[in-house]
Amino acid sequence: MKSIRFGSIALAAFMVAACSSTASPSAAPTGTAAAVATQAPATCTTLTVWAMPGTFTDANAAALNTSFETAHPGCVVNYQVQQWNGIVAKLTTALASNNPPDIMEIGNTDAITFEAAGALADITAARAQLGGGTSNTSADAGQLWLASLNDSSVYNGKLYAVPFYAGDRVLIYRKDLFKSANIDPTTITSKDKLIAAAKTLQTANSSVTDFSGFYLPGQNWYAMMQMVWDEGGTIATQDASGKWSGTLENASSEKGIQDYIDYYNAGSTGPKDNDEANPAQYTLFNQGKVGMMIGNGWEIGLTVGKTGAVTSADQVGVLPIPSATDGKTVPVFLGGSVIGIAKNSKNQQAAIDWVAQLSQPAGQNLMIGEGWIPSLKQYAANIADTPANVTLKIQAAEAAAGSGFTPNAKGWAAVEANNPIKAMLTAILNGTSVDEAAKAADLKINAVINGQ
Amino acid sequence: MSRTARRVALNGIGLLAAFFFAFPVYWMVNTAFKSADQFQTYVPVFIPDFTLDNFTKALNQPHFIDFVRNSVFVSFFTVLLALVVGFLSAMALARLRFRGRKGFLLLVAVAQMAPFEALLIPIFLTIRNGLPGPLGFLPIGYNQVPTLILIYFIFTLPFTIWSLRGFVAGIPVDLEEAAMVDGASRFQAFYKVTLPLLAPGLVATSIFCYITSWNEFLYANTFMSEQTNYTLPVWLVSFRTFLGTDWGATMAASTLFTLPVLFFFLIIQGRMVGGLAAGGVKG
Amino acid sequence: MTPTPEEAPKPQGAARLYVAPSRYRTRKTILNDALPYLAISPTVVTFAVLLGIPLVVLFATSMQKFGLFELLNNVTTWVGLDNYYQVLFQTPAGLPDFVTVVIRTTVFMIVNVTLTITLGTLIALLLEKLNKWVRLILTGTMILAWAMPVVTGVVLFQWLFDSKLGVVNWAISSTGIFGNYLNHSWFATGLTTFTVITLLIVWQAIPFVALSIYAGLLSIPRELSEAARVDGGSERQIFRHITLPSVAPLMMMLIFLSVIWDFKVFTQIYAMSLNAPDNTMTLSVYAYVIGISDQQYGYAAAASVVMMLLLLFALVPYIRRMINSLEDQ
Repeated sequence: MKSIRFGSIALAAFMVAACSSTASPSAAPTGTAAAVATQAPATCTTLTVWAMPGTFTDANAAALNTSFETAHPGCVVNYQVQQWNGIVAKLTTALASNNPPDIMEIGNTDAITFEAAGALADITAARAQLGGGTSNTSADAGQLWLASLNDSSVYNGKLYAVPFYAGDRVLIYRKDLFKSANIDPTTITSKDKLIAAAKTLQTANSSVTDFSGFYLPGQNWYAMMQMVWDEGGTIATQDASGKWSGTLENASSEKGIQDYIDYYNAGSTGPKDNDEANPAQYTLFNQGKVGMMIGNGWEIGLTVGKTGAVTSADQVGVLPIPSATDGKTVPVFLGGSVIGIAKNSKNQQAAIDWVAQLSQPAGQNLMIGEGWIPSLKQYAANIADTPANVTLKIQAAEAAAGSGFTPNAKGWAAVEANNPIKAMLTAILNGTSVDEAAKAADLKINAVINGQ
Repeated sequence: MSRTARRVALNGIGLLAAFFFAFPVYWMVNTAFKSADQFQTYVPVFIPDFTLDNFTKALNQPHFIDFVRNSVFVSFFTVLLALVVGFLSAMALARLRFRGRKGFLLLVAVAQMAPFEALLIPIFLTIRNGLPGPLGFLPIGYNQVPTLILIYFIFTLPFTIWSLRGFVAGIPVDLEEAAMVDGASRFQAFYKVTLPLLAPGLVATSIFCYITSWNEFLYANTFMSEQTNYTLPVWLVSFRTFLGTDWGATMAASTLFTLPVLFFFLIIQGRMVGGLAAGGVKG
Repeated sequence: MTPTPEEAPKPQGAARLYVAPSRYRTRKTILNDALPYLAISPTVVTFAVLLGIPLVVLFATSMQKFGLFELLNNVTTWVGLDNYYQVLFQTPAGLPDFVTVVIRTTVFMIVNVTLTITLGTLIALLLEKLNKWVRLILTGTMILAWAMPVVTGVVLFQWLFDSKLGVVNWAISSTGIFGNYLNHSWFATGLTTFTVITLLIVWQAIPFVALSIYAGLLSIPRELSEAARVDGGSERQIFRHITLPSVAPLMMMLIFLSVIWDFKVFTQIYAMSLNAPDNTMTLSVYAYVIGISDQQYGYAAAASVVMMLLLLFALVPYIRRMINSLEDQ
């Protein structure tokens, strides 16, 4: 499903690392991850691991589990892939049951909910073994994980989850269309230049029904957040007493929202009432109806089909998403997952051992092989310069230039569950003023963001 | 309007109504047989290219066989349990006078009102530790497939009683009496006279229970935690991911998912509704 | 049938709808007296245990501060009627006001029930007048709509009404009567989303109602209307004085079931309005969103209890009348 597939190489490296008794630095790009103290293997009989679809290929998951089982004789990994659909309710009941899964992949936006509720084990003491270094504070030199993922894993100064992997969005464009319209992709360095290029593409491709020079659906709120941050705005802020409130109605936030609307009105044929998944934008891209779009790394592979207008990977290029200010890129939303260990798990140490595999050089390279930005800063900054890694390098560079995240508030998952930002965008596109719609969205955010 | 014109007009309206009922179903099957570039078009394609890709994709989803097995297992026992328990109550309501009869009918009506989405957490709290004491050996609890049977049984029991009561009431009591005058025992009269006449009603009512348990997603997804324990509705939503909706596979899965229901419907045709009608029409 | 002497009939109390006079009180008649209670006992036990316990738990949680923390840590914090107070008078800003939700739910229910029953009745009457083949076709297509699982129906209608690729927008635009509907977003506002949801619900509910009433019409003895016709009654009079009274109890039952189904309807509304849920929030969706998505189980439980009480108060007098009319036949 993903565009970048050299998992087998990472896999081989992984097997090597797993079989040698010490962490082999051979697969590491530069430097090494925190060394793992050799410990007697923890005992368990069954270790239940929940992952989400698309995180690992079957082969990589099997490799991780086999190496764990080899190191822990008598312990069998029960590996389950769950659906995103209804996942919060599912995690809730699973964690409240007598026999919860030991290890769960949790979307980084949902993590805070479960950390705050005391559902996950406090693993602060195992921080070094898990590869995160010595400090829980993102800014400290002793903190080795990507800042945003570290922040999703720490609650009240304690570590309740382990950063897993991250991904962010890039500007995906049609190389062949750029060429025939005489646009140099390296000149797309600001909002105005992007819009100008979009219009040029539209003129050049006016014979294609419903062609968008720059395709944007009405409700891509991730893209919108990036524009809000770009203009210096925020989604919500916390006051001195710790209370969160929505800030979409602030002048700079509204400027970011307006950027989004400007982009849409530059000729996007996307639906006003739906997001990038419906219709799947990569399908439209494949059919030749899209010149540029903001998409995830994994969407690139899906744009290339056996049929359609895009049948070769050479037609697809990737650029950093430009800022409103010329020469800068937007701060990107760093999506991703963290791993939680259930507080009620009877296999705490075994669970930590399983997760610790991922901070090994081989584990980090495994994630790179899957097309994800790995959790350790050092690995993210030193992704090998291979053709397969072009997109990942741009993603990692964007993330290094600046990234943002949804408010780390207890009630944020509840906000998203009934997302007022999507409704706000549709309202604006259907004629409501930005200010009015932003104020209405803030009210809705305030209602649930602080939890019960 | 002449009689003939009137007749033609009415039949025309009938056909128009039939079109509205049939079109969405046609569109589902049509989409299921389309290749990817055929259904993502702005001008709809009315005759598909009859590709089987979508069906292949739908059937090759991991653990499909487990889903089918669980769905069949859960549906079968839900139907069985609801019919047996519902039938006993329906017989009592339609054939016997007893104190508290109207109160019992009221109870059934009230049970019909229970909000099942809201009971998700309460039911979870009730069953998460399994059954208490001597019943603890039963496979009821979190991530135990038979739990779903009990939940769907409760969902369907009130309607089952309403419906079966109507079917029983529709069978003239004189028939049983005549048999008994002829020397049959009450049991024989019931077994040889009433039951055969009731068979269509039992089948018809079972369809309702079957559809409910066959379709249910919320409890099946939340109460089960392993791939091998899910039912088919979980399969049906697995084509809608954060990657977007695979409409072709979804429609192919939906078509396959609807087939067994349709099959049962065709077997019993008009009999399903006979129960409510029989018990509820003044002759 | 091979009756044996010892099984010789004792018709009293057996199939007749009266209790045996006391002078026949033998062991067998005591058993007969107990029989109805034995027969309904599995149902009563089922309701008491499988429905009763969760309902009691629901009621208990409605009086607790009960969120994810309490669920995971088995903490019980009683807050009395706080949740009810919040539900009724203190809806958090941004969430639709509870009274608004109740009114919306009621209006939605009334619209759906009215459409379902009216159109269902009309189709039932139409079925009587159709020629054999058209009747077969209409019945068959109705069964297709009826047989479709709800989950499938929701997905299918979303696909039909998709703003870009949906066949409905294309069809409306092609007729040209309403102008260009391409790109029209049905799921952008509450009213149009409700339109699609109502279409789906009514589409799937009509067959049951229509076929039930049709079956009811067929079971009215022909002699009644023929006699009336001989006596010079008009079609209209026959409908009013013979047909309608005959199917009235059946209609009451169908209305009762429809009211409950449409008042509680969840899947269709929840799944259809994921992109703009506020304007289409009805009671059951409200309770689910707050309860499961927002993890405020106590608050949601209170909202659900209020919903059940509303239904009960609105429907119990109706149920009594319905039961009486069924019993008086």
